[in-house]
Amino acid sequence: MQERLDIGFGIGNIVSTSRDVKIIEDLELQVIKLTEENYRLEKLLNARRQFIRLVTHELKSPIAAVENYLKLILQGYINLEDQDKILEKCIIRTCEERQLIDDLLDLGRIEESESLPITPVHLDQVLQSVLSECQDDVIDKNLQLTLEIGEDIPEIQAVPELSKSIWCNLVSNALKYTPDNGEISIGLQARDKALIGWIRDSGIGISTEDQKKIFREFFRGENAKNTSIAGTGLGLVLVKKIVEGLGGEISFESELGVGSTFQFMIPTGNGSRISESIVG
Amino acid sequence: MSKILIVDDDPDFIDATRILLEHEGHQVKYVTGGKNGYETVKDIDPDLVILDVMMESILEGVSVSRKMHKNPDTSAIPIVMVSSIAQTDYAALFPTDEYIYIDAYLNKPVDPTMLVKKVRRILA
Repeated sequence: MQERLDIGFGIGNIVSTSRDVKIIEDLELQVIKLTEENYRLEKLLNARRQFIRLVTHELKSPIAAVENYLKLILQGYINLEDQDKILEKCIIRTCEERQLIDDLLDLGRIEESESLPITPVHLDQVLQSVLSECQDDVIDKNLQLTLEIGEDIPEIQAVPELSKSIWCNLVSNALKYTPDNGEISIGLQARDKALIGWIRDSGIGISTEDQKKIFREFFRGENAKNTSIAGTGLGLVLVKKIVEGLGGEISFESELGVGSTFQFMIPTGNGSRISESIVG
Repeated sequence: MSKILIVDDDPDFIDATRILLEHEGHQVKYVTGGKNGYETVKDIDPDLVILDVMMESILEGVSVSRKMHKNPDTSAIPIVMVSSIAQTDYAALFPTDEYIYIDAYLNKPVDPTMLVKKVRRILA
């Protein structure tokens, strides 16, 4: 069967078969799909460019600070008795740089997690291991640590290093931002085919204004920046990406000067794995 | 002795610059972030402002310098702009089609002697 179509190339009427019409329709569909894909990739590329710009700036900042301080000492602007204080500041910024590199490597791991081996992970055991590594900090700050781990915590299928990163970052934040003699309570329970983990501290808290930005890359709360505590602004970003990559979610409540509670939920038994892009 | 205001979001840059300028005998005030920066400039009427470019937003320092220029009360206050955006992709975002109202520009990390020289020249 033949039909007449004017396809408007300025060459008059062209005889076309219904097969040709189908091909044109398919091609039009392909063009739409490719345009959409192109738009998505451009957006991803722009996000990646922006991320790289931020990383470059953040990597330069601690080095610039250390260089500044060292030049002040070398050029004779700091009295001998004040030099130790300045060198301590240099050490803090150096630690910040090292932590930043570690966090960036973790972000890279998340991006490549499709190729990383997943194994059964017991988040309760991971938590115990993280806590044993932090025992000195708990004692040094005289913190009251309460631990509530439920019975029969099921395993999840995950990349072990990344699962550890969830607890490492949450525990490290609580330890860093809770003043001496403060309280930290940590828990993990199995509930309705999911693991619920939480960590509550009596730390410096997060202002309402800063709460909106707390999962933004390189963001640090104003009160956190004003302490001498090193931070990269990537820890919570990492935790969110890892938890969401496992099909879960993270939430928090916080009050400035009172403390914060972070809670995450990870579904059990689905063997979910992290697939989210670093800039996605 | 002059009154110098540092507007920056890096506490260590503020600290190092404060030590340096106090060593030079100046009275140093500081504020973190550009939003408070412009307000503080109006409030304390400094003799000179050390102004970072990239704070809460990418070109926040440039925005503060524009505001200072537009306001007759603050337009005559000299500005030393400092930044670590040179040799990064952010440098491309720096406006090239308009005059930036500053008296000196220094790359971070700022060499202390260089900063002292600039400040002395501007305040002379």
